[in-house]
Amino acid sequence: MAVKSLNNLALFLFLIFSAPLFSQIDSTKTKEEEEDYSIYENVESEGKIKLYCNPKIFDLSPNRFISVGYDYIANSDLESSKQGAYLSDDKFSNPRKTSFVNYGLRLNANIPVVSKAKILWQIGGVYNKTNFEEKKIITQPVLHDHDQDELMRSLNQFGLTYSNINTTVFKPLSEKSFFIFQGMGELNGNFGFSKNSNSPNLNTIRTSASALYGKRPHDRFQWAVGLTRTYRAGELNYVPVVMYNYTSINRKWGTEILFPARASYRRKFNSRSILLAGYELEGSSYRLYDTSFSPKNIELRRSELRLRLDYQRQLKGFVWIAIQAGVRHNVNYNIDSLGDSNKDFFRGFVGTQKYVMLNNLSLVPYFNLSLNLVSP
Amino acid sequence: MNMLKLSKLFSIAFMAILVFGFNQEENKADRLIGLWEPSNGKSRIKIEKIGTKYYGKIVWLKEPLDPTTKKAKVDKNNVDTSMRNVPLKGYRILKDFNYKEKDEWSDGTIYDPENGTVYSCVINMKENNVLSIRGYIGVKALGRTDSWKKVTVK
Repeated sequence: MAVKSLNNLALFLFLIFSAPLFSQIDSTKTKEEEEDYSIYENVESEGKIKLYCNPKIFDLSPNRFISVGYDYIANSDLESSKQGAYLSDDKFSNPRKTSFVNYGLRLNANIPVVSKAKILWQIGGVYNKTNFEEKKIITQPVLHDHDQDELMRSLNQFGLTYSNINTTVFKPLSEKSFFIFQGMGELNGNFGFSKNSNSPNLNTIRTSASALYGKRPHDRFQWAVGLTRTYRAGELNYVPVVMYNYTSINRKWGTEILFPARASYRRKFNSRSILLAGYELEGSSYRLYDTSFSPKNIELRRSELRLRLDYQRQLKGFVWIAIQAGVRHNVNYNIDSLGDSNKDFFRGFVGTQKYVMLNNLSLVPYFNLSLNLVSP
Repeated sequence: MNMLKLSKLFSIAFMAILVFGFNQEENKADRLIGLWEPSNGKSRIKIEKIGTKYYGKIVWLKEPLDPTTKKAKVDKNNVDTSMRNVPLKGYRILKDFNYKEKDEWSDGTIYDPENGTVYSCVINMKENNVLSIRGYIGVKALGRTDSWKKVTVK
């Protein structure tokens, strides 16, 4: 009798505790079509939660976690002054002119370290190789001891390497305002990784940084203003920076502007393909090792404005292709010496420091193709 | 006879512990069920349990009408063209989540109607009323996290 009672008790316990399991399964039988969604209009929060400003707006071109690209610049003419021809009157009094093409691999990675609503922090790295292939010497000075000979020998032999490690912090200050900090260390020059290449000197690392404060009034617009220390003009400069990202109401077009670095008009065909039309200012200072220039510690101040069309399209899943074509306009290709101190200096827009050598590059077409793993 | 009674008692106690323990895990897992609001406040997601897995569908949109068509928003960015007329309200964007342990639900996916892309997703409950939703590509490091707060119907 007692055993029977205990068995009943066990059955009772089993039914009591397992009831929720069956009730969950039964709940799936609810017909969704019959659900009245209007009941979800009025809700109340269970406790307080702070809302944060989103780092993006609608329809911006996708952020890239990893990018592998190939860059090609068509035959450009390089006209160089003789070394020491500082004054504008003498600029190209005894010029040498040559032509060459540039091509090379471009790798880019941006990895989120912290990716939360209240802070976004990512670190990244860039490796761009520019190879030179001299095609034809157009003008050769009579004396044949022009320094462009030495410059081209070095560029042909070693090419130029651009590399950086960077970090970006996006900090929402409220639901509608934010702060952005970007910092970067660059190591650039005519060095490489092959046995016969020059080795980079860590003392030539250049640092850049930007700080911006901005607002995001709604999902289709964000703006920010700030200050940047940059080498985009080829040499150290401090300039104001303005961000202006906008998407139209019909979400067919918009702007992506981070002036002066880049500005684009965006046309969205659908959620998987966009066209950007605009420009990007690219540049940095490159240490030239192993040259026979008489001044010491030579740097090539390289900067170019790329006016372009950039078509980006999803290939599959998170992999996008970007095809870029346009023209390269030279901004700076002059050569400086840092002298015995080997310390970089600030020339800005009004500095009077003389260049060691002045160079002009012609306007030429360029092409860039990249495969990109894009972020959520 | 005493030995028989004792063994029955042990059986019952064991069964009770088993069932009670299982239900406690079940209760922990079911804390995901309810109404949640992403940090941008633009939508509300109702998470429910179907079978042994958890799913979430959009039940409210702050801007329910498409600004271009002036009609109810549909899943116009879906890769599958046959789905592009399906209303976003009622759309299941969270799918196939299993409760693991330590307040984590994983093995699921999240759909972003903004770009028609499905991401791997893991959900963590930071507090009883806050979810950390991380959509990612392949590895968790390549992703983005959002906080969802719990809300209840008035």
